[in-house]
Amino acid sequence: MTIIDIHVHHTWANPADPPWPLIEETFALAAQCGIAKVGLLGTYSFHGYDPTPEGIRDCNTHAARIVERYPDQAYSFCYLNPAHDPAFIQAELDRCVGDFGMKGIKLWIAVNARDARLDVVMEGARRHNLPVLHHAWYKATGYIYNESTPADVRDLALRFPDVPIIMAHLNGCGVRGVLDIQDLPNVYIDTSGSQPDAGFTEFAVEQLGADRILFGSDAPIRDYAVQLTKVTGAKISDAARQQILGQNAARLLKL
Amino acid sequence: MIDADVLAGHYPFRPFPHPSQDPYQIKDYLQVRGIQRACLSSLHAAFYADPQQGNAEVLPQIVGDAFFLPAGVINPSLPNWRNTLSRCVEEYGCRLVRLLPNYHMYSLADGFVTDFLAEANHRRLVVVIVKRLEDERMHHPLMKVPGVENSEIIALAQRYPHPLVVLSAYLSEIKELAAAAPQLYFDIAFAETMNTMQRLTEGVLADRLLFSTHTPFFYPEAAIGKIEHWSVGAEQRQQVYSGTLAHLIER
Repeated sequence: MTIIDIHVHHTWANPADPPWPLIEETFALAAQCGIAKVGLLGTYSFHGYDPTPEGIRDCNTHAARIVERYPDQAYSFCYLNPAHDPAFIQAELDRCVGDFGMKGIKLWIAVNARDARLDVVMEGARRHNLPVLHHAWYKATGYIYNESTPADVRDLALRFPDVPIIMAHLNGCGVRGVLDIQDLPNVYIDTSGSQPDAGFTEFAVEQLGADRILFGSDAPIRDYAVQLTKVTGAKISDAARQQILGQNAARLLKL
Repeated sequence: MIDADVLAGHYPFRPFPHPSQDPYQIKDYLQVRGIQRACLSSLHAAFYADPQQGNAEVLPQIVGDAFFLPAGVINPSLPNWRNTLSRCVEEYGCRLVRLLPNYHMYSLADGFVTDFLAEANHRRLVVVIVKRLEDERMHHPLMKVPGVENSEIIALAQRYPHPLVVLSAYLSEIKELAAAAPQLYFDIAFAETMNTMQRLTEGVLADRLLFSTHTPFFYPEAAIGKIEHWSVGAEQRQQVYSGTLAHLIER
């Protein structure tokens, strides 16, 4: 079974000094856990909540350089900020897909998922036939910036029913988040988020089916060995486990 | 392996997929995963007005079974805490007792905590402070219970020079607490970053860390995975799996 992680962040704090040892450690630790390939989503902190166009370009270029150097261990998503000029968004997406072969689009918290400014991103995803991985969380405390809830992602998915969306952070979205997307076949969910709490994977398999769930670790914030147990420790069938750990990602991302 | 944190009971906000009520089903579940002993507490004791009612539901069932290390829950803000403590020690054989200040709505700075600690030390008990039961972001919106502040624990440690175990601290919290007070010990269930044990032991000696799964909230494989993927010798690994807690209990 090939395990594919769809939710990993790369750290590249100094553009002039690629942190190859740190990146190699990331791949080595993934391999120790049996993870064959990791999807790079961009830096989660270096460029801030509302990255500039330059920050976006840097982040995507760094991801591309990592994938160019380690094509067997990594693939990447195109990180975008919907607040930017639509012409820039389109050009950056075309660059990331055309020049670097990126496999999806990543949106974080710069703009809420209900915002009409996402339209240009979603139309780009449709044009390139790419899934959009969108951050989401239901939080009792600690919402940041324009963070989206699963209900916000539901709104986006209803507006673009033909674009596949991967809603991030199953354990953060929780039971209500799973129910928010249950009737939307274009929405998938990844297993990243928070602690290795038992029960959410089982609930998602029951409500969505295993073919709509993808393994994501959120490394290096989290530990591959810990986050894998949300799938390996879950009370689900072996067939479901295999779908979540790699088969779904391979199909959806055309890996 | 000795698991420093296992709970038995219902959780009001979600069901658990694995055994969580019957101590002996929980025991089977943990033993299959290689765990040889476990500290067991009542989960209901966090929510009942008198945690002794929770202790009484769970702990009598496990008396005399060597797999279990019963851990009674005490609320020292209640006038009956001395009686509860006596029952935990004399009836249930507890060597560990737990405090949940933020679920029982008191501060570690309250004077009765000092009285409780004096009695616990007199009885040579291991006192366990539970920082949290769950990631606060995931709490029910009508029941937000903040984690116990590090500052409260540090202040307590300054006036109580004996060992204290802090459960469910995050990695950054452990590092801050460990630097502040040498008699504090920590479980690893909530500590997480890439290569958790390597990063954790860059700031905290392994002989201050306890293996724990936080079953049934977490998959027990998670804590085992942290230690199994840690690049150290068998001796250090064993220290965390069982040595530190065994030392604390037997002191």
